[in-house]
Amino acid sequence: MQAAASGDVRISAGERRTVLRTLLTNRALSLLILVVLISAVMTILFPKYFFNYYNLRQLLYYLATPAILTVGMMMLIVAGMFDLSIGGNLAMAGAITAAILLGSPAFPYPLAIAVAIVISTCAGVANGLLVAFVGVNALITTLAMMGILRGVAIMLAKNPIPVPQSVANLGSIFVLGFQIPTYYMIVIILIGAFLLARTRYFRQLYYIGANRKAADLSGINTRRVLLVTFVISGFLAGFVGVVQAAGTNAAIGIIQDGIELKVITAVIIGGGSLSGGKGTILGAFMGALFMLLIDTIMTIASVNNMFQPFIIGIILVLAVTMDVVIQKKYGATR
Amino acid sequence: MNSSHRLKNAIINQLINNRALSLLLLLVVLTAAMSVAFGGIFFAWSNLSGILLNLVSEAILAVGMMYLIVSGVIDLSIGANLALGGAIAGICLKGSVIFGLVINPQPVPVAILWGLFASCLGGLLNGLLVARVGVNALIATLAMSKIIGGAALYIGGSEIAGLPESFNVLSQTRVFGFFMPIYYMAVIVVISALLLAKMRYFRRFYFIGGNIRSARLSGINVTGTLTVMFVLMGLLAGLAGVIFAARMGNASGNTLPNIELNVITAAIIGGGSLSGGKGNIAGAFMGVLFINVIKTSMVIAGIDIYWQPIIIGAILISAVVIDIVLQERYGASINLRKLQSVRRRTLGQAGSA
Repeated sequence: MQAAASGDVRISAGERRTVLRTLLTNRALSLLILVVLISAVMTILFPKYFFNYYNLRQLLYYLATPAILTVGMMMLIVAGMFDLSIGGNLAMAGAITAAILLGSPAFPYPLAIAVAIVISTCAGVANGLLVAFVGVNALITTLAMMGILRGVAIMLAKNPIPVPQSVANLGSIFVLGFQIPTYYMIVIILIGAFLLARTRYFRQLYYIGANRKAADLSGINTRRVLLVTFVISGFLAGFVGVVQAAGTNAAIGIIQDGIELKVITAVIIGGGSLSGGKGTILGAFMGALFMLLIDTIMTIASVNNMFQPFIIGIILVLAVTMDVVIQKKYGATR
Repeated sequence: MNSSHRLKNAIINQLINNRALSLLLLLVVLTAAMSVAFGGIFFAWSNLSGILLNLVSEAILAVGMMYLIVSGVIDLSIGANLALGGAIAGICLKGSVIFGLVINPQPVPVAILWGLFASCLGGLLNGLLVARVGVNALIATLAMSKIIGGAALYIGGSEIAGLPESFNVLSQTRVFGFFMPIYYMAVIVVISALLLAKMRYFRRFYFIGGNIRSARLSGINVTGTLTVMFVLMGLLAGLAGVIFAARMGNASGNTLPNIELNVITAAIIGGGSLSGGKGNIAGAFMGVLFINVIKTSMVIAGIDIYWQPIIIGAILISAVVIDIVLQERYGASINLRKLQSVRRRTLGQAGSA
C-alpha cells in the first residue's frame, strides 16, 4: 500500500478489482504465481535440495508424461468429454514396441514404434466412434477401453521387456542439459496451445462443450470433431507410451496405472470443467506442473507416504471448491 | 393384431426394458453351457456359495451406486470409504494411539458403530461437496477418495491383524451351508430394492436423475435428498467394510482397491445409465452376479487371468452398445405400435359412437 500510494502509479479500487479478477479467473496465471511462491518458500526452506539443476532436470523429465497427456485430455474436457483409457493405452504402446523388437530384433525400430502408435491411435478411433457416433457415454466407453488396453499391455508385458538401445535413446539422451522428453513436451504443449487457442477447427470444441445441441444446429459437424479429438488423445497416449518405455529402458504392463485420474485432476486444477466449454492448454500444463511440484515437495520435505494422497485430496477439494465460489462471484474462469 | 404377435412383442419389450430379466436369461444360458462343459466343478453347491461370498462387497456397494446413478451422480470414493469403515472398526476393537489420542479396545457393537459412523461422515462430505457446493460428482468423489483413502491408510496402515473372535464370528459363521455375509447382502439388497421401487422418498431419485431442474422446480428438496443419498452410500460402504473385515479377521487401509470401477461397471451392465433416471436394484445385483459368474467361469475354464479385464471391458461395451441399438430399433417402434393400437382403439370407439 505504501509503495502504491507514494509511487506514480495509483491503482484505483475498481482497477484493483480488475487485477484481482484477472488473477482469479485466469487459471494459468494464478497457478504460475502459486508455483513461483511455493518455489520461493521451498528454496528458503531447503536451499540445498530444492532449487538446483538436478532437481529442475528431474522435474521437467517427469513432467513430460502427464503434461503431454493433458493436451489431449484438455481438448476432450473442453468438449465435455474425457478419456480414462490413456493409461492403458500408453502401456500398450510401449509393450507393443518392445514385444515386436524382442520377437524380431531385425525389424526396423522406427517401424515398430509406428505400428505401436498406430494401434494406440486406433484405440482412440474406437473410443471416438463409440462416443460420438454410437452415443455411448464417455465414462463407460473409455472405462471399458481402459480395461481392454491395460489387459493387452499386461498380457504382452507381464514381466518388463527390455527395449534396444536405439529405442532407449529416444527417451533418455540429453540435449543441452535436459533429457529429450522435456523437449517433446515443450513442442507438443506449444502446438496444442496454438491449435486450441488460435485455430478455427479446434475452437469448435468450446462450442461443442458449452452446448452440443446448439453446436450441431449451427452447422458444426460435432461427431467428426469429437472423433478427431479422441484420435488425438489416443495418438498422444501412444507417443507417450513409447517415450516412457524408452526412458525406463523397458516396457512394463502395469506402468502408469491410474495416471488417467491424475491427468484429469491436473486439467481440472488447470481450469477445465467436467461440464465442458472451458479451459486452456497452458492452464492444463500449469495444473500438471503444480501437481508434480506438490509431489516433489512432499518427497523433499519427507512427508509420510501414507499422508501424501490425503494432502493431494485436500488440495483438489480446495481447488474445485474455490473454482465454484469464484465462478459464482466473478463469472467464468478463463 | 393376432395374439402370438402381441406375445412376441411383449417378450421383446420385457427383455429390452427389464435388464435383470435379460441378465438372468444370459446367466441361465452361461450356467447351462458351463455345467455341460465342466460338470460338477462348475455346477456345485460349493461353487455357488463361493461366488456369492466373493460378490458380497460389490453387491452391497452396487445398491448404493445404483441409487446414485439413478439420480445422475456417481461416487468414486466407495472403495476408500469401505477401507475406512473396516479400519476404524478394527482400531476400535484392538485399541490404538492416533495423533496421541489413546483409543481403548471397545466392545464389538460400539466398534462397528464407530466404523459405520466414519464411513457415513465420508459420505456426508461427498454429499455436501456435490449437492451444496455444487462440485461435479466425479471430481468431488475422486478427491474425496484420496482424502478418505489417505485417512484409512494412515489409521489402518497396511494391516490391523488378529481382530477378536467375537467380531469375526459375525462373518465366519455358516448357516445352511452359506456364510453369514451372504445373508447380510441378501437382506440389504431386498430392502433396498423395495425402498427404491415402493417408497416415495426413494422414487424421487428417478425424478432428480431424469431432470434435476424440473425436480427442483416441482418442490423436491434436491440438495437434501442428494446429501442423504451420499450418506446412505457411505453407510453401505461402511457395512461392506465391516463385514469384509470380520470375514478376513483383519482390516487394512487398502482393502479392495479399484472396487469402485467394478461396481460402476456392474451397475451399468445391470441397466443403469450415467445420464440418470433409469436402473433398479435387481438389475444392479444381476450385473454384479453376471460379472462374477463370468470371472469364475474363466478361472474354471483355465483362461489366463490377464484376459479378465479385456473380457469384462468387451462385455461392458457390448452391453451398452446393444442397449442403445435395441432401444433405437425396438424401444421406439414398440411404443409407436402401442400408440397406434391405442389410437386405433380410441378412433374406433369414436367412429362407433
